[in-house]
Amino acid sequence: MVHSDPISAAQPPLQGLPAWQRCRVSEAHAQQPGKAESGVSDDALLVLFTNGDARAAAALTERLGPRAFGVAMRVLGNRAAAEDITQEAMMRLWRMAPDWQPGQAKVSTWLYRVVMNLCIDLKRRQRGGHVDLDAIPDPPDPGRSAPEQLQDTARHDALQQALMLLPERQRQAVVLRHIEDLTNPEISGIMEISVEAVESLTARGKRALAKILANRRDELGYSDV
Amino acid sequence: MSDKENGLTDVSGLDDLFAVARNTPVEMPASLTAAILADASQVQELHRQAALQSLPGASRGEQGAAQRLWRQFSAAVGGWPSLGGLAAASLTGLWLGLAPPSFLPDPVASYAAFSSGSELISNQGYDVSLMMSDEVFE
Repeated sequence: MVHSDPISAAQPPLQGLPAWQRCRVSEAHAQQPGKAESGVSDDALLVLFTNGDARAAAALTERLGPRAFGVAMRVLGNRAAAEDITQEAMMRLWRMAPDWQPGQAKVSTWLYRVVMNLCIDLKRRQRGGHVDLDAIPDPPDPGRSAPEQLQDTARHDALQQALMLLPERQRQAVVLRHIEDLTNPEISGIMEISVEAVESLTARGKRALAKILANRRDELGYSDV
Repeated sequence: MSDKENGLTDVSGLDDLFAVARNTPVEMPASLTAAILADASQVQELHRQAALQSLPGASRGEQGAAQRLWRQFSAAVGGWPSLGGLAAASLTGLWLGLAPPSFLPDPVASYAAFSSGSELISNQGYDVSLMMSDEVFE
């Protein structure tokens, strides 16, 4: 929760600003008429951020930061590198905020693209990378028994290890499609390839993952009953 | 469970693993959140300064005021092309005054023909008595 009434809360920072900036706030809010504060669009939060609202920065960080961090972790397999890339991606988000055109694209899609490009740049520099499975958080699920949680952890780690064996682009496509749960057109926009290419990458990635994990099915609890 | 029956020998067996990964919450370290918010604060300050500078009438000192005045004048006469034409016309007029063509009277030569100021004034028709009156030299 950032503030109870985002529109009225936005008014003080608007004092003394040019009319075009005040209009941008109104336009951004108009896209979410009547919604509660938790439903304030990323577009509107970006405008509020540009107008100096620190709570908008906190809300965007809370909303988008974990997604950027999560996808960077999946793609890089390295916690420290994922942190660096998340911070850099969010910095780029802050910098571009005044130039953002509400309604033209999704902020999350833009951020995913930045994260992916930063990951590619990092991989090019490193030419290798390593899997830091210890850094991947265990899945806390108090509703599940300890054996079930252990099995989930083993599956989670096994998937990450298998993902790291995929070619870079296949890994990105599989992570975005099957873990981040994005649509193929969204992934197409993020990876700047055609939808058909996305489908091809995810299909080949899944086949490769199945092949990599096939010999671990007993360990992961997939043995025939 | 079909996944267990299929194991991981085909692609559909992966769906369970993906579901586990999707349901695993990703929490950013507090230090990363703090760093991101610190960056945000710095950038917000830059945006604020940029917004203030873009406001019309923002004070930037006397130099800024002089520059704005010059820009207003330049815009009023039509910009740099018009200023160039104005300068060329002025120089042409000055040149015609200093070195006129033969068919025009030469003002410099006519003034140079007189050896003193009083001779020049009397020749030009000024009333010397009026010029020398107390009213003028008070």
